[in-house]
Amino acid sequence: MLGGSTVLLFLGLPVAFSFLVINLLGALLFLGGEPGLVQLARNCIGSVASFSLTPIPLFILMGEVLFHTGLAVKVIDGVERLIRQVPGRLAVVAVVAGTVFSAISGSTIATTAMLGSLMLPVMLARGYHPTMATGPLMAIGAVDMLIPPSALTVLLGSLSGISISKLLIGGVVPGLILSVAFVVYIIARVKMNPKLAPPSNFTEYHGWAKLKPFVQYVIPLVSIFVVVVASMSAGWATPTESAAIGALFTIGLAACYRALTLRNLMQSLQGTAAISGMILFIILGATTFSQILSFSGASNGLVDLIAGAGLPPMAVIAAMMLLLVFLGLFVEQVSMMLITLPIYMPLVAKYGVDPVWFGVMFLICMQLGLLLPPHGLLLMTMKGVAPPEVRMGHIFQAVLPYIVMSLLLLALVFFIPAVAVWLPKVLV
Amino acid sequence: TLRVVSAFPENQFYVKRTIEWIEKVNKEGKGVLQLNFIGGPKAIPTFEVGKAVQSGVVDIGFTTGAFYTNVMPEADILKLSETSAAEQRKNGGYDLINKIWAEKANMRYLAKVVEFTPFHLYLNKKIDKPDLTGLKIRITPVYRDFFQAMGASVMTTAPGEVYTALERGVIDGYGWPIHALFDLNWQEKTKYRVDPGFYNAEVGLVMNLTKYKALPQKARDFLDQHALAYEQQNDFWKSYNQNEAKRQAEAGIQVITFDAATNKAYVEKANEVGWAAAIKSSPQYGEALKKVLAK
Amino acid sequence: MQRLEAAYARVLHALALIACALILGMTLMICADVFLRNVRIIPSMVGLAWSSEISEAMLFLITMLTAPWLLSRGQHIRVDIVLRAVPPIVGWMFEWIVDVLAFGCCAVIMYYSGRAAWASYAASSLSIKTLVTPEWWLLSVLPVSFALLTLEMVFRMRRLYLGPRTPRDDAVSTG
Ligand code: NA
Ligand code: NA
Repeated sequence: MLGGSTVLLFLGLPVAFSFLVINLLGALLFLGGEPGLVQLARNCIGSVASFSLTPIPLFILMGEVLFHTGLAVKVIDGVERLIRQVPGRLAVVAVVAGTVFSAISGSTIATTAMLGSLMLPVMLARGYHPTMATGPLMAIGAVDMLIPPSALTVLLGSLSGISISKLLIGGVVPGLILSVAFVVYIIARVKMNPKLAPPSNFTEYHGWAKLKPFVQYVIPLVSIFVVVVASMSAGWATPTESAAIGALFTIGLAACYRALTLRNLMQSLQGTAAISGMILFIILGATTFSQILSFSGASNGLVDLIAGAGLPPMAVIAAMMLLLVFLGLFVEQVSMMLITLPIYMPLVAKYGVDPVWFGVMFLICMQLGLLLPPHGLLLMTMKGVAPPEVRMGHIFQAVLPYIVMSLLLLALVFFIPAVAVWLPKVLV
Repeated sequence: TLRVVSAFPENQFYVKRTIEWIEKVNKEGKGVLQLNFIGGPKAIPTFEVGKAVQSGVVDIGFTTGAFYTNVMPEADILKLSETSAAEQRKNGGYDLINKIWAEKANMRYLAKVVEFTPFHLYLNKKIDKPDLTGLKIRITPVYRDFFQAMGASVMTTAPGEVYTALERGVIDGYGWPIHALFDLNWQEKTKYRVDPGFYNAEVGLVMNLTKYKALPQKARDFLDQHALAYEQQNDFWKSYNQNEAKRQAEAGIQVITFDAATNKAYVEKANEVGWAAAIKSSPQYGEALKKVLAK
Repeated sequence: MQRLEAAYARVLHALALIACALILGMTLMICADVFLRNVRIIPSMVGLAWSSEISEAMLFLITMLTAPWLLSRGQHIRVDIVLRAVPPIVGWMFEWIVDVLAFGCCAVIMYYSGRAAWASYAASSLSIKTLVTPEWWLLSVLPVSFALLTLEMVFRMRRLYLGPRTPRDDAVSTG
């Protein structure tokens, strides 16, 4: 079954339909013909009508509102005025602004497209090398997935049964580590080779003028992040509820800034409907797929096979992560989860490892998948918004150092679990 | 080989006991009958197990009535049993159940394997009379009518969210059997249990009737005999539940109880509300079931 | 044919707009639930007990309402690594294979989900949770949505036939 769906996937059948086609065959074979097909249809409803999936559209909505109402420009402006002359200043601004976005937006595409369309033209005009201009934008877009809100984290929690709140909060520290590492890398790299990012003049503001846009826009927007995380950890609301509050808050703030129009609200909602629809339809196909896989006994068989091989658990965990990174070369995040989790989670339970630790590493692997050539989603997004002089070759080359940093982070979390599990332990 | 699925997750105590039973059946049934345990909700979602047995997607389901009310409303009425399974085998109850199950769900009710297990109201706020006005109580359909009748505002949440909801005061209490609290760690966030309990938890083995009839006589007798033997072990739950109550006390759960008359009224009210709902949902069989289930 | 196809696209877009309204409605409903639970302005209303159940149904409706619309816009993500690697005409033939498969798949699911909905209606099965609703309400959405998908598949194959003999530029990722 796994093989069949992979063949269809590579023939170019959309992911959701690849699962559905195989489901029909599986239902015929294992669920006993026609009654099985009827049962399959019934199972479709429960697969998406699940309360733990409700944060997904809500988190995506937050990012879309931010994007379509133009509040994003204000954030960049607010961050830019605060940052002094450093090597690769604009790239540093992009990383810091991107980190702020990450905390408001639950959609990596929105963040990357936003930064790409706003910052990239400026950087290229100031003589930045295309690799120095695009790399940080894509890298920080990927970090968005680690820092809550994050639609994919919710999905991971819901599919794996790991606590969604803990996963969301567990991504914060690794995400921030990456942001800091990016800034350090950019400064060091530009110091070594100043031609990559020629210093340019910029208006230096002083006093209130320097702080005003930061206080006016960045602080209120970051307060959304605080609302979402705090309402979750302090105990007023479940992840779903805090996502809804966050989304309403974002819309409300946009209205306060008079940035909200009926038109851009509609655009935001349509963008949300499109992305959520894509994800949910894949979930519908894939959940029923994993049910049939389970029913056929294939999942249990594989789990027993691996668990019975007597390998050291840490080696198996490491192998699972490597397999994920490898999968990330070919398939997108939702399928990565759906393909591996039915096998991975029973093993995690068997070995008795901390699921939050495992989940955060899983997130880092998915985040890597966003950046891996030739298929990483953010590479495509970047190519989509970049001017034609930025070639695919530039983009592949640009992203490499950030891939290395993400791999190092993965190793760090693997050897020092506290990086991932400390914050959720303290907060939740 | 017959395929068995469970509506409860594999790690739950009920299921472990049933897997042991399946192993015993397989050992003694070589050449006669073999059971293949497929798995829990990962293979067939909890609320679809009933439908899957009805349509023959699986042969045997291990489930409770509340999980297959979408097949027939009568399923949930078994929780109102005051007579024991053994008594029902004698007073015609078992035959009536099998008549209804066959007619409305294409099912054979093989055996009831959990009973003598009352449901209780668990609370985090103290009450001094059976009045839940202003309290938010997490329910499943089992408790809905009774708790609403006591003035509670009810809500349903996924089992996985109950712990957090208790921790954060999103709910003030919940309904649950006397046992199985510890599997979910809810004892950590629960202050009180209201005694007495009410109703009688039912978990049973149901089989697709067509498959049952198609079994050779020898295999059918073998299955019936082993199902009955499993059911006859139900006294196990009496001591098990006493132990669970003890464990709850050790975990710091205090008992709220009322005076004898109020207690009696409380249980009577539960039954009255339960039967009223049952007869409303099944005008056809509600009364008849009451005759054999109620005392 | 052209006009029919355009009119059909508008129908699918209208369904997507309903999905947008559901997303907004869901946001407001969950917020109202949290608000009413914590601030007791209406003494008789302590939160909306049915809020989680309704949002589950909404999630399902959003999925089914957007699926045909996304298909018509080429937004169901897929992996195009092989399609791009082989000669365009081979890629084009792959497109035919998968279109026929997807068409068949949608038609089969339409039929069996229709049977599931009909059986549930005939047995007047109820979904008994916080709310008691007929089960077929949600079940009947499936055959409708898959019928729309099946029809869209026909239009999609027509476009493939009329278009250049290369693979299409469909979406390759979510976010
Ligand atoms: Na984020
Ligand atoms: Na994200």
